[in-house]
Amino acid sequence: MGEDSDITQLLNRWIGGDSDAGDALAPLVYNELRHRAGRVFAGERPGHTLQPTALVNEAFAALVNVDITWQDRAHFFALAARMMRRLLVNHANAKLTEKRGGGALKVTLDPAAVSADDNATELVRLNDALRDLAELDERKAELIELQYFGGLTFAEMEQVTGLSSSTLDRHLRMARAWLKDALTQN
Amino acid sequence: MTTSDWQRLEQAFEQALQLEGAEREAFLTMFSKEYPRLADKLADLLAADGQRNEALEAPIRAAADSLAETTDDVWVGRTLGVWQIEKRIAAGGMGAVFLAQRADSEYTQHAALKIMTGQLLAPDAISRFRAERQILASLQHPNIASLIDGGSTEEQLPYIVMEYIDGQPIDAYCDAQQLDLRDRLRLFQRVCDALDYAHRNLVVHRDIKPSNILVDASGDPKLLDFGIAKLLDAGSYDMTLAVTRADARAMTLSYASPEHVLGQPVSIASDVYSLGVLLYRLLTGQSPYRQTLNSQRSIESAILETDPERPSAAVTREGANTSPSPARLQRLMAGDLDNIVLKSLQKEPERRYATAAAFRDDIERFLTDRPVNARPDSLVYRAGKFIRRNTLALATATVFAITVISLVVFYTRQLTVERDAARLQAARSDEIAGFMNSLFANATPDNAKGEAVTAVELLDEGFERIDALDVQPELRAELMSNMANNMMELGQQKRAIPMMNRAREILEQEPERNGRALWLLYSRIAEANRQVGDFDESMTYQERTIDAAVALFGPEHRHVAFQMMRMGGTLFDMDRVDEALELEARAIEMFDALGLRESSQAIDARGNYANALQYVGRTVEAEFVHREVVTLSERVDGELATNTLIRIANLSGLLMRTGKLSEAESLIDTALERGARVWPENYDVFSQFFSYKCTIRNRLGDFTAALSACERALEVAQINFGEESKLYARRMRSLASQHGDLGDFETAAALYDLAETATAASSGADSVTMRTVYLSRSKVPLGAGDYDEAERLLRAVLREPVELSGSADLYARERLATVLSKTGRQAEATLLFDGVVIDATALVGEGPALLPTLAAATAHFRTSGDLDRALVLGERAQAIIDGSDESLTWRGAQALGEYGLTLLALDDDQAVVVLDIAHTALVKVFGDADQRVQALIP
Repeated sequence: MGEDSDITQLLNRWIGGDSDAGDALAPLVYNELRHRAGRVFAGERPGHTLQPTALVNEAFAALVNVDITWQDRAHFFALAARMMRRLLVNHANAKLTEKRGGGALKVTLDPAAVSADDNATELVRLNDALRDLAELDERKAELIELQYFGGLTFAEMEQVTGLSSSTLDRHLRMARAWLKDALTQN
Repeated sequence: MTTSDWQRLEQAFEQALQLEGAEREAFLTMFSKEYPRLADKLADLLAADGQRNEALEAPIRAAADSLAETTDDVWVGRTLGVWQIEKRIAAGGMGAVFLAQRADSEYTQHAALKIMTGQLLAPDAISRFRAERQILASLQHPNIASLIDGGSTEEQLPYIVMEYIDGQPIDAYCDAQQLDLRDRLRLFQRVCDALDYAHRNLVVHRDIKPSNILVDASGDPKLLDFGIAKLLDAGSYDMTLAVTRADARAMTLSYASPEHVLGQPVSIASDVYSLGVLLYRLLTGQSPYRQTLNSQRSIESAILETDPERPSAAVTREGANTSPSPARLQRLMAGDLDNIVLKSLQKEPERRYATAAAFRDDIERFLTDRPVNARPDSLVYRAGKFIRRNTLALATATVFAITVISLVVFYTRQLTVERDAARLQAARSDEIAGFMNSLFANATPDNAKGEAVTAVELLDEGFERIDALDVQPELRAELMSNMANNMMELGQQKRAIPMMNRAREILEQEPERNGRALWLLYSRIAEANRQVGDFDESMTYQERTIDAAVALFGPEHRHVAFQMMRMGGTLFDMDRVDEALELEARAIEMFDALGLRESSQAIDARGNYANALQYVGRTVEAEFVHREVVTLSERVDGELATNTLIRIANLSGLLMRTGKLSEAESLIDTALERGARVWPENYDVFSQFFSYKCTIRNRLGDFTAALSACERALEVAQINFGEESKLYARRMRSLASQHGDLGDFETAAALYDLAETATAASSGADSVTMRTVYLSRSKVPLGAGDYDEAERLLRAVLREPVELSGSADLYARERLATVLSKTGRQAEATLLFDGVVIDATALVGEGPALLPTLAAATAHFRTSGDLDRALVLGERAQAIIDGSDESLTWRGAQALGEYGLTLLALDDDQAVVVLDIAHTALVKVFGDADQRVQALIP
């Protein structure tokens, strides 16, 4: 119980503008997502439409007093989306490092390993592109993060960003086009 | 790229998106002249905008999958509710399925536990899930895996617990057992039956496929996973959804119907299509579509566009695997069986079998060498086509769609039956089809001048026309009777009764031939009259129903017992309780003798019996029977069934009245908690539950909780029944009563005014119910010392000639006696109290419920100087309190206080101790200043 209320308190302070509280909250959320990843994803078959949403929701339910307002919830989801991104990128990097460390010159013949490698590479590239986008337009990068890593719906994104739906739509469209273009370069 | 470049690019991107074709070209040309450095980038962005977003989604998805694979399954070993998770069985779209074992039971019970990991936590998703669980709980069929339990994990993820089926998917089973064509068809028919049962309960499965139909070791098929099933009729609490939109992601494509693929509304017909694919596969080992289909797109386009190959041709394809030789199979299937399968696979829903039962029946005809119905342009085709044309146009009248569907299903089945009996020629079926066409054609929005056509109007109109229809009288009567049923479903009992009587007159012209139809009709007429409160008329028809049942089935039959049970209920409603008791006892005896003790009807009979026992004050027996009812209901109907929860509440109500408050409260909390898991937030039954909770909290002196429970009870009554309903009036009275008990007379009076208004509206200003309001209200002037007003109210309650129920009369006399005592009319008061104490003891027994009466009587005899009698009554109160396991209630404390004051008047040493106990208890509830507390200070 004590931990729950700590997290709710941290969340409240962070929403109130206390960035230290946000810093303290982030690792807690990260750990929670990491801890719970198996529960949600192990149930899914490869190729099935998978949403990190479920994981973020589960973490939310575990960490935060459910009675907080929707707006506060939305803030949590924004944070969780960022942590989700970090978690997945760390995982992808770990896999790539593992492969390289295991023998940089070894040719792997296992097609599954190759495709897993490709996937990890793709995610790292997406992450890099997203970082580049953030340098040009931080807002748009955040929106992408919310949508794809946090699994927020359009309505939820309106809540957390305060943007109108038409503005939101325009931003997302531009951001997606830019990212897709960036991923096809090189 | 500079910030200003980026902004320029963004602006141009947005502008270009609003333009098309030549205009966009012109804009781009202009832009490239102006900003040559950025022109290529803009073109790239616009091109990328047209690309799918898969490039962004796929890496995230893949990384998540990969992360998951490296993590152990953390669910195994956990306990959810009473269920311990043993191992993972399967994973599916909406979550993971585990084998679980009951952790709290001596005997081993295995179950399949499904956790909805994919569910969003949005409140509406949760409540939808609860509603679906309620539907599943209501499906009880030997070939449908039943819902056992459900709840949420500590992470708030919903889960359900289903019957665990140890079996093989139906296609694998058929192959492993090398079933021949006939056996395959027989097995398939049982699947149709189960699905038809679900459809008749207005549940569509939406994901029929072999892995959802397991065949167990004894060869019984079981349908699993109504997990994505949606309700056709959103049920009694919310009539908003007639059909539901498909969620394209949540289906298995190979078995999906064209409308499902298109994301259009799915219905019974969609399940029929999936059944067709299943049958195709069972017969040929192949998919209905010849091409090797590997991409989602090619499967979709085949489902939408390609005509399936005839099964008899498909068996000769490579890979076909049924036990007889392909050549022999081809001969067996060519013709009728081909027609049957292809009919179920029609692209247009209305050209398929209208129901799973019709599908099943046609197979039956094939198996018994009778002509099958599967050929084009049948009545089903015409009726179905008509419906599609019109229901879409009539989307505003949502009830309408349900009615139409049920009407057509009924007619179709009815006509099928008739046709079998060769009693109805094609000309007659055209007559009916023509009738329906004209009926619905008149109901289109055009004719209704833009106003929604209500189902009631449609039925009214239909009834008129049926009466003039030139068909066999029996068929006409059945159509009428069905119209009447639909009227009943719509809550229009008063309109339904004349319809049913008209049908009855027709059928009674040839009573021998129509025995069965008349029996059914009598029971419906009886029920309709009971529902509108015409008990005498209802009794007449209940008697006729019993006579008809005895004639049809013999004197010892469940239909006879059932009707006796119903009649007992009506007698109880008519206050003929002794007769009710006798009839219920006979019904129970008959059910038990027939081996039907565990049928839900027998449980109903026991429930009625318990209520009647309780009513006449035989509380010990009532408690026993109530407990039996709850145990049986939990076993037979399930722990989450609506009936079970109501029965738990009934037991709680009884215990509350006999003063066993802790158990009563724990029971009502159980009912509330389980109800919250399976019902929508404001489900009507909650009103009753909260009302019990309110009374229990009141008795325990916790008025804050009592008030909020009473307010919820009122709110739920208002939402479901409106402010002119009897229930709303009663709940308002209870709320007023809470404030009265609390000593807040001003609020109480205002609420009693509202209660009187509501009672006048729902029951009438001179009704018996109004007198119960006066009775309750009298506590306000009595508490405030306005004895004239109290007397006026109580005299109004006791006014002749209306007969009050036993308790209302008793408590009115008790209060009047107190008023008389306080206003110096001691002799009259003594006379009244003599009778009141005897009657109350008879009614509630020598238990806590008697304490308020004892308190009032003790006070009277003490103040009028008859200390001996006061002492006797006080000692009775003390003995009841001593003998109770419960802690002292405020009503108990009042009785104890009166006893203490009597002891004080007799100079007894114990007086101080007794008064102190009573005083302490009352201060805790009401505070120092309350006059009930002050009265104890000598």
